[in-house]
Amino acid sequence: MNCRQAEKLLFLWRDGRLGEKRAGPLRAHVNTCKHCQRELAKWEEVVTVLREMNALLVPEADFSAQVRAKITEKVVRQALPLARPRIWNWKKAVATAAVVLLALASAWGIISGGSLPQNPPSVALENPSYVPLPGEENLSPPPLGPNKAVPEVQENPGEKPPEAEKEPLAPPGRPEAGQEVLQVALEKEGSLENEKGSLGQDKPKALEEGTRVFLNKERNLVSTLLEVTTSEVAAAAAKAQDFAREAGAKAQVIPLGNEEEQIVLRFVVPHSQAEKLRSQLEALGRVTYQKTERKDVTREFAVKQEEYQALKAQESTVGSKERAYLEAQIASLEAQLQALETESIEAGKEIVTLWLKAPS
Amino acid sequence: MFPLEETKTLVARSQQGDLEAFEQLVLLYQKKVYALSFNLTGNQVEAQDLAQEAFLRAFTSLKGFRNDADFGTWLHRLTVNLWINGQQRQKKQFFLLPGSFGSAEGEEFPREVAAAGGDPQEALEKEEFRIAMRQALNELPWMQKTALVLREIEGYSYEEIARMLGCSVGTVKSRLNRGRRTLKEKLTFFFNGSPALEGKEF
Repeated sequence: MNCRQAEKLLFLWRDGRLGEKRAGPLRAHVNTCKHCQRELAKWEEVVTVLREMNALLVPEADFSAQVRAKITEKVVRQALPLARPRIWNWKKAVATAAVVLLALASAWGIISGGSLPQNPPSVALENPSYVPLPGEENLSPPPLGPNKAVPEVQENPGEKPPEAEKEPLAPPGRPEAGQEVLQVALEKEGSLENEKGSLGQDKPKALEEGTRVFLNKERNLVSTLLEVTTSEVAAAAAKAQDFAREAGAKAQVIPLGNEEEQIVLRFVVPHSQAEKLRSQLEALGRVTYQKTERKDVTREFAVKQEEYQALKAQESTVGSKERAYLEAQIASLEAQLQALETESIEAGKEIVTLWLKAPS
Repeated sequence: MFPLEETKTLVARSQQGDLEAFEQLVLLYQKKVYALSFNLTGNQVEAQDLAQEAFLRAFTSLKGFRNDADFGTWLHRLTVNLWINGQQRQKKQFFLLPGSFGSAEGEEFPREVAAAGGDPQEALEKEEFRIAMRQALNELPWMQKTALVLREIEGYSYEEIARMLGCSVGTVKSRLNRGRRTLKEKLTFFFNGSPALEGKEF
């Protein structure tokens, strides 16, 4: 055996993947060949350094707290009545993709005669069955890729859109007073144009009847997640609702199952009252997690609006089978847009989510 | 490596939705998952995101985990699966731009000069070699890099790697072979010897 032949087998030998028939001659060669010995030794050094480098890799000090926060946020968001249909049925996904593509074709002017937008709503195309809640885009859905080696997360696979989906917080068509939402019934082109936002340029000019137009402008959500442990979950929840009422906050109770053990309350509170409400809620028990963040949702709003308009434009042209699903998506998007609109700091509101838990 | 019984108990409690228990699991396994994530992504920000996403996915899929399997390996499978799906989705590789190492934006890589102790010159050379190694690893095509990391750093068998990557053992062999060859080419200065490095023990 010469070095060229040996080099082809060295790593298989090193990994114990070579049968004795080939390993014997190779061993004999390596024992007498300084070049091959050096080659192996050099590789061992490389591996040693790689492992040393690996040993030095440590996550940030608050890594576990960050994971916990993500889980908490995910659990809370999944429990929200706004939770969208999670449909992983491939047939529905494909059908929806087709619908979205048709809708985009329509929105881009193939049907309506409008002009092509510079930034088509990529969110809808990446995963048409996935409509994230406001601020949830970092919690990506289970990938639909070919590699299925790992069990995928399938919350309620194949489930129909929940009833709550059809009943958003404020029903479409009844915007709150002072809200910058315009109800339009447009048949002719260009009778109303919304303000241009980052993604709102070159909008399709013809909108379907009943399509709501939300103005594109800067929007930020200020939200606090407060996890409080108390042995009196129900009593604390009642108190929290009293505090919220005093603060003029809108409250939602989000059931998580056993109400004696845990309950989530979500408040949309006037900015001026938010700090007072937070301190009252903190006093309900032991604060085990707290995080307040401000998030710019301007772009998210624009993307959702594009998607909403595209789906709305397609609503009347699809068959009844796809239509029910499409309507659920439209209602979901409309509710999300409404929430982003009315719960922003620009609308004078903050969001406080309280997770009351019994000690484990 | 990790206390088996403790892990099993924590997994069982986590499967019942006990977040405190799961946080303990995160603390036990965070380094293992983060290190793999860093080796795959090549930078701290993406490594942090990937590792967190892996734990999040672990929590939500924990009910499907058989508690007689190795929890660490399962976490690694989740991590690799997320990484591969991310790569396939983006259809691009995470190459770091040449010259971006140790830049002012910085801290792409952990600097360990101070921790190395001893001769500062030697420590610096060791650090430079690590940076060159990291750069070489990051520049590998992502499938070769994944196979190489799982084999040489994590020590998984060809069969385990094939299961994680959803490919045949033959494909693993081929990716490892190509990965090693490419890495060697990128570290020519080391394999062919250089006056500065000759005789140094890394």
